[in-house]
Amino acid sequence: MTLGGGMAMLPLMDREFVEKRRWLTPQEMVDIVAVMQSLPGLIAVNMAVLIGYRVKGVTGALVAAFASVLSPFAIIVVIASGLSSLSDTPTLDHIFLGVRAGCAALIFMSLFKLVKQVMDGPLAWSLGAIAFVASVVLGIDITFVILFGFLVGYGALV
Amino acid sequence: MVPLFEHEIVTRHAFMSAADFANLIGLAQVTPGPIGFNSATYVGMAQSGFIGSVVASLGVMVPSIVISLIVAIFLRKAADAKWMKLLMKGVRPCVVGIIGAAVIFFAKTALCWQGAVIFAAVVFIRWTWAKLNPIWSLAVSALLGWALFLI
Repeated sequence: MTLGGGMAMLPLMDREFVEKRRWLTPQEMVDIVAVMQSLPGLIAVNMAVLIGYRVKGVTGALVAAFASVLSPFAIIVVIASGLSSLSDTPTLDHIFLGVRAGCAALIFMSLFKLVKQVMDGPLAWSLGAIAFVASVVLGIDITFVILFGFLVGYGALV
Repeated sequence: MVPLFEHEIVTRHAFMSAADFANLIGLAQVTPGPIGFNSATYVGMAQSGFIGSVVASLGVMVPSIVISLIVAIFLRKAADAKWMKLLMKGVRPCVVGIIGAAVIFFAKTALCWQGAVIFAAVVFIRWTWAKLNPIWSLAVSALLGWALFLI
């Protein structure tokens, strides 16, 4: 599992589901990010099912899952039919570089907001710092980092 | 997922050559949507047309749907339990740390002065105009990515 995929959706989730529609609280969104990143499979579909279920039960989950892949499906079918071809031109590279830099900035802004809502004491800050170092420096899989947080929470329990 | 796909598609079933597979992954990466989903749809389409792409897409989605649904139902049942709240108290800061790592991940792939300018521009736009849809920020980023390299 890689870091890239799911996290690029975070600013959009925040905007649509938390701020605009108020389907989720910021805490619930963080919980869903934890779960969708650690479950196997397609992160986008995991997210759609988790949020869809919370909003409208099993029907909501199924509708959201299929809706989440509709546009990628259509795009691939068109490209694979040979109606258009996507070549690796420098211009395209530059545009995607721009999008990645923009993604970094958007996620940075989301991070800023979440820090204020989640980081409520020295324990939270140390856990966050450990998770950051584990992912960036040590390259540890997200699933294990989240499992670690789970164990620390469990430690607080007993 | 990609190494698993390579093993099944290229080595085991010989659906396509290694070179075609490399192109496919490149294509799946630049088209929007999950890479696993995109490549499955593409292979299905290449193998047996539209029906193939539908079957392949469903095949790669179903495990995600089933597992996520089970977890979602369980999470709802346990949401108000005290132990769940404590567990999540440990998990949430880790998610924040991982989100921080995601910023680094994306920033690393756009490491040049143009990338830095775009990063700063988007932060500035969002800071001064919080209600703006994030999609527009990304459209601006794409445009800047194209324009700044013309200089």
